[in-house]
Amino acid sequence: MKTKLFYIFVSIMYLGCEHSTQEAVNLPIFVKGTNTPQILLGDNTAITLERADLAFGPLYLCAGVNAGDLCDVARLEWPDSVVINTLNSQAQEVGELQGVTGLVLSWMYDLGISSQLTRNEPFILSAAQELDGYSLVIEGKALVSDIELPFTVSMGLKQSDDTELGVPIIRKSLSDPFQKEVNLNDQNLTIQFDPSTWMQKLDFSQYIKHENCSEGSLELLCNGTQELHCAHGEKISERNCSDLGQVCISEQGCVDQLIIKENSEAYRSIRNSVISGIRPKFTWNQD
Amino acid sequence: MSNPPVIQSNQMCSITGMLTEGFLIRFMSKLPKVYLLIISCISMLPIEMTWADKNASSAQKSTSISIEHGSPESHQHETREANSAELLLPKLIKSVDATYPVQALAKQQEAQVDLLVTILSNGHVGEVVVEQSSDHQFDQAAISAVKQWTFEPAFQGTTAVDCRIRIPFLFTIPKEVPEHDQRAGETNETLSVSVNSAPVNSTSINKKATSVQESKKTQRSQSTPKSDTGSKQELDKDPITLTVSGHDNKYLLQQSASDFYISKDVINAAPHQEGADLLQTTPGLYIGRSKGPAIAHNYMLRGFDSEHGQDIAFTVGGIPINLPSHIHGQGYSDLGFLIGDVVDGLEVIEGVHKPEQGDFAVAGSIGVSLGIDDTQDGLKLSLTQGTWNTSKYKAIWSPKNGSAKTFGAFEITTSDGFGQNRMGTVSNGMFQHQFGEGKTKHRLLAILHSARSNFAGVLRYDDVESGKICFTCVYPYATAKAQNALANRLLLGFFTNYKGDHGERGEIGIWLSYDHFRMQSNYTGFQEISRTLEREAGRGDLIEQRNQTRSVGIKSRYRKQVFAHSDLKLFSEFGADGRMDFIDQSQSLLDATVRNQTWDQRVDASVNAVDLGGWGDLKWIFGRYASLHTGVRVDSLSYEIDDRLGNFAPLTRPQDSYITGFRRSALGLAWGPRASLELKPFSWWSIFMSYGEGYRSPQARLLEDGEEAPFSKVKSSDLGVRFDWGSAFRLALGGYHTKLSDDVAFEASEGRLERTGATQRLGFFAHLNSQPFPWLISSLSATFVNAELLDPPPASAEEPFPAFQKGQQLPFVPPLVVRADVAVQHNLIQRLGLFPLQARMGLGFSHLSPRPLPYNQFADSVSLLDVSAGLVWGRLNISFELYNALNTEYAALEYSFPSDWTPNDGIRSRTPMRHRAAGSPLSWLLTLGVSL
Repeated sequence: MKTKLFYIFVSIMYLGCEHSTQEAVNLPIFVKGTNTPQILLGDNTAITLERADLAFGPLYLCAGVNAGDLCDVARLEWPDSVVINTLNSQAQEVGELQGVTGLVLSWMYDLGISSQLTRNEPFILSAAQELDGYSLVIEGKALVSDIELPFTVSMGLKQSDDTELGVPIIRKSLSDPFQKEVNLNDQNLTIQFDPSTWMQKLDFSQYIKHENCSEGSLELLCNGTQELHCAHGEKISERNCSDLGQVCISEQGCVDQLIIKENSEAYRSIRNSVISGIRPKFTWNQD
Repeated sequence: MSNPPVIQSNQMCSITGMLTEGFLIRFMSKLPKVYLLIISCISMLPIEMTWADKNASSAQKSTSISIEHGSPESHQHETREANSAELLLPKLIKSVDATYPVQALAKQQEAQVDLLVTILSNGHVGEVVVEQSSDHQFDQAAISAVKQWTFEPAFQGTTAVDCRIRIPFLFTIPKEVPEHDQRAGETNETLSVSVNSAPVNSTSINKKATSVQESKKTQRSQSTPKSDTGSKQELDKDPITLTVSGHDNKYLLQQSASDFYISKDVINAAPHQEGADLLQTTPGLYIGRSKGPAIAHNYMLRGFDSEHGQDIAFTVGGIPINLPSHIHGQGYSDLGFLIGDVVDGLEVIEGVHKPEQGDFAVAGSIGVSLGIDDTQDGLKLSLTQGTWNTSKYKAIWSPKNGSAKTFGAFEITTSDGFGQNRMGTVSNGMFQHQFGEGKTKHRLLAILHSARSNFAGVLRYDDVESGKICFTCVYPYATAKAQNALANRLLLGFFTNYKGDHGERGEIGIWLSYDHFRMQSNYTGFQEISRTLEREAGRGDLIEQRNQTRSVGIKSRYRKQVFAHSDLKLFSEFGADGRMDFIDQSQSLLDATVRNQTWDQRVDASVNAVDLGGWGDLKWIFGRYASLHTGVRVDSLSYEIDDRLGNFAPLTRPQDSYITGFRRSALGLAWGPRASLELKPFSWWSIFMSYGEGYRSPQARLLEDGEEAPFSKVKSSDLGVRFDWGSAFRLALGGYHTKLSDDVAFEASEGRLERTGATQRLGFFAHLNSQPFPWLISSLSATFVNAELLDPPPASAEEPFPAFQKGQQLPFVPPLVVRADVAVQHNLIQRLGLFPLQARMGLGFSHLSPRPLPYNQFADSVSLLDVSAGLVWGRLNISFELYNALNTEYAALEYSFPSDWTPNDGIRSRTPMRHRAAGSPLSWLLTLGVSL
C-alpha cells in the first residue's frame, strides 16, 4: 500500500495535477457517396449518373461558428486529399482526423485544389491530379424528351476570390446546423456526398433542340437526333445521330456526348450546387 | 593524535595577510560572529627577516597588514627566492566561520580563544588544542569552525610537513544588524555578521581588528629575529597577524525560506558555457538559450514561464536589467553581458515579501553581485577552444592590494554554433571601480555588450519525426535562414554607500542604460497576409522586431535603529527608486528573398515611461526567538504612447478618412503590503512565513487613453523551514502559493506576449546546500508546482479557438525542476616543482519534467548533464568541460501553434503542432589560463 501511494505521489509530482480540458484525438475519417440509380428533375428529365468522382480535401473542423479566415487555428484537420466515388454508398476510410477534443461549430474544405498564400494560383493536389487536374468529374446520361443524352463535365473548383487567398473554397454556411462536442469516445467521422443534389438545377432541355434551316440560321442545327446542315436557309443534308450512337448538340452536330463546358449555364449550375448548395452530411460514430 | 614534531623550531616564520571577502563569504555560517584571525606559525628556518621587512614596509601603506589578495602565494615565492632552505608556510585555502554561542550573545559576552592547530601534511586540520580558554561554549565554537578549515600544507623543501600554528578567535558583540540588503551588488569590506539577527557592529570589529593588527605590527616591527631559540612560548609572544575580512553574511539577510544566497563556490561548482548560465544554480529556475547569444535566455522560475524575464526582477551590480514594454517581451532581460569570473554571488528572493521588490518581481528577484575572487587578483588571461569552431578570449584584471570590488573584464566569444545557421559573436566588457575610505564608499560600474548571431528558429515536431528535416537544421527557405538577432547594451552606474557608527546604512545611486535590439525571426512559416499592401501574402513570416530603450534611474535607501529596549529592537528602513524609459519600437514583415523588403508593418511606436516607487520597512526583533518585517511599497507608473500605426485603416476599409496614429497617455498606481516572520526555536532551525503583493507593469502599447495602467498584481505567500548547520549542511523546505491577476504567454504569430488571464500556482521546494568535507561542494534543489489558468480570455468570434482554457495547466511551465551542482577538488600532488598540482571536477545536472503546452500538447522532459575537470598548477590552469555529456537530443524551447513550413505542397496545416528549438548536443570546451 505504501509503495502504491509512493508511486501515485511520484506520478503527481512528475506530471503535475493535470486537469486539461483538451485531449489529443485521432479519428478515422470515412467518406462515401450515395447510391443514385436515377435522378428525376422537375422537367421530367431523368438522369443516370455513371461516374461522379470528387476530389476531396483537405478538411478542417473549426471551433468558431464561422470558418474561413477566422479558422486560422482549427480544432481538427485532415490534411490530405482523396478521390471519392460519390456514387458508391460504401464508406471508405481515407485517413485520420487529427486534433484535440472540444466543440466544433463549423467546417471547411477544398476539392483537391487548394489555395495557398505563397502563390497566386492554387495548388493541384494529388486527388485532383488523378482527375487530370479537376475537382469533379461527372459522367452520365440524361433522358430528355425520350432522347438519351450522354454528358460529361469536368470542373476545377478553386478559390478565386482575392480576399480569400489561402482559405478553403467550401465552408459551412451560418444556416447549416452543425455542432459537435468532440470527445475521446468518438469513433469516427463519416462524410457523405450526394451527387444528385448537384444536378437538381440542371436544364438539359437546352441541349435538345428542334430546329429547321431558315434564313439566318446557323449552318449546323439539330432537330431532335437529326443533324441538319444548312446553307442560305436551305437544308443541304441531314443525318440521324442516333444511328451513329451519338447525340445531336446544337452548334456541334453529332457528338458522342455532351461536354458541359466552363461558363455554360449547366456548368455554373453544378458549380454553384457543389460550392454553396446542399452540403454533405457529417455523421459521427457511424457503425 | 600526538602533536607533530615542532619543526626544528629554531626560528619563527610568520605570515600576515588579509583574506578578502570573496574568499570568506563562501564559508560563513548562519550564526554570525566576528573574528580576527591571527596566525603564527612555528617553523624552523630564518626567514623572518625577509618577511618582516616586507610586511613592515607594506604595513605603512595600509591599515591592513601587508599581504593582500592572494599574496601568500607570492610570499612563498619571495621566500623561496630569499632563502634556499626552502621552508614554505601553510596557506589558508578555506575557512569556515565560527558560530557565536547563542547564550553568550544573549548575555553580551565577549571572548578570545586561542587555539593551537596542527596542519597536517595533507592540508587538513589535525589536532586542535585550546591554548587560551574563555568559556567552554566559545572554545567549542572555535574548534568546530577551525576543524573545517583547509590549508595548503607547509613545505620543507619539496616535502609537505605537519605544522602547528596558533589561531586566536575573537568573539565580540555586534552592535547592529547587518541586514541591510546588499542586493545592489555592493558589499562591505569588513566582516560583519550577526547572531540570531542580533546586532553586529562591524565598525567595532574593524576597530578592534585594527588595534590588534597595529599592535601586532608594532610587535613585529620591533622584534628582533631570533636566531636559534624559537621556543613555542617565544613564538607565540611574537605572532604575525593574518586578518580575515569579509562582508555581510548573506544567509542572514534571508527573510523567507524562499530566499537563497548562492555563493560563488556553488556557482562555480558546475561548468557554465557563459556567464548567464550561472543562474542555473538558482533553485527552481531553468534557463534555456534557444535563439542564440543575441537574444535573452528563456527563464522559468517556480511555476512562472518568465519568457525573457517578465516575472523576475534582475539586477546586476545594483543596476536593473529588465526593460519595460520591450517589443520582444515585457521585462526583457538579456544577461548575455555577464562574465562569470566577476560574479560574486546570487541573491535570490523567490516570491514577493521584501518592500524593495518593485516592477517585474512577480516570481521573484535575482540580484547578481559582482566582485573578484582573491585568486584572480592580477591579470588572468584565458583561451578557450571547443566544438563548432568555438573560441573564447578572456582577460580578467583585478588590482593587487585593491578592493575586491574593483575589476576589469573583457571577453570575446565566437562560434559557428551547432547544426545550421547558428554562427554568432559576443563581446563583453565589464569594469567596476570601488573607492573611498571610512564610512562612505563609492562604486562606479560600466558594462558594454554587443552580440550578433544567426539562429535556426523552431522546427515542427512532425517534420523532424518524419525525417523531413534534421533536428539541428534550419528550414531550407530564405525566410528561415535569415533569422538572426543583434543586441547592444551599455550600462553605467554610480553608487555611494554609507555606514554610520550606530548601525545606519545608506545607499544612493544613479544608473544609465542604453539598449538596442533587432531581431528577425520566423515562427510560423508562410501564413501571414499583408494588411498594408494589396494581395501581398505568403512572402514568409519573417518578423523584424526593433527596440531601442534609453533609461535613466535612481535608487536610494536608508536604515537605522529607532528603538531598543532589552531584547526588543526596532529598525526602520526607507527607500525610493525611479526610472525613466524612452522606448522606440517597431515590428514589420520582411521578405528575405528580395533584400529584406518590408511587406507589412505591424508596430511603429514610441513610449515614454516613468516609474517612481517608494517603500518602507520596519523590522522588529524579539530577542533571539523571533523577528518580524512589515512594510509597504507604492509605485506610480505613467506612460505616453505614440502609436503611429494606431487606428490603422485596413485595406478592407479604403473609405476611412483620417490620418493613421493613436497618441495616448495613462497613469496608474500600484501598491502592496509586504511582511515576513521568522521564528527561531533553535539556533539551527528557523520557521519562516511571508506574504507580499507585488506587480508587473503593463505593456504600454496595449494601454488605452486614460487607462489606469492595469498592473498584473501578484499575491505571494510562503511558508517554510530552514535548517542550518553552517556550510556543512543548509536545508530549506517550504511551500508557496501565488496568484497573478493577469498573466501573459508567448504568441507565435506575433512573436510576442499576449494576455492569458489570471493564473495561480501552488508549489513546494527543497534546497540543500552542503559542504560536508572541505573538498566537496554540493547544492541540490527541487521545485514542484501546480500552475493553472484561472480565467483565460473566452472564445470570441475573432478567436473561436483560444489557446488557453480555464482550468488547464499553465503552458510552458514544468511541474518539476531539479538542479544539482557538485564540485570536488583536491591536491593531486602536494609539490610539483614549485607548486602543488590541484585537480578539480564539477558536475551540473538539470531536469525538467514534461511541460504542458497550449492546445493540450506536452513537451518532452529534459535532462542535461554537464561535467568538467581541471588542473591548477601555480599560475597555470587547464580545464576541460563537457556540455550535455549524455548527448541528449532535447528542445531548448517548445511551443505549440499552427504553422505552414511546406509552402509548396498545397496543404496548410491549421491545427496546432509542437515546435521545438533544438538544444545544443554534446559539446566540449578546452580552456588554458594563466595568471600574471
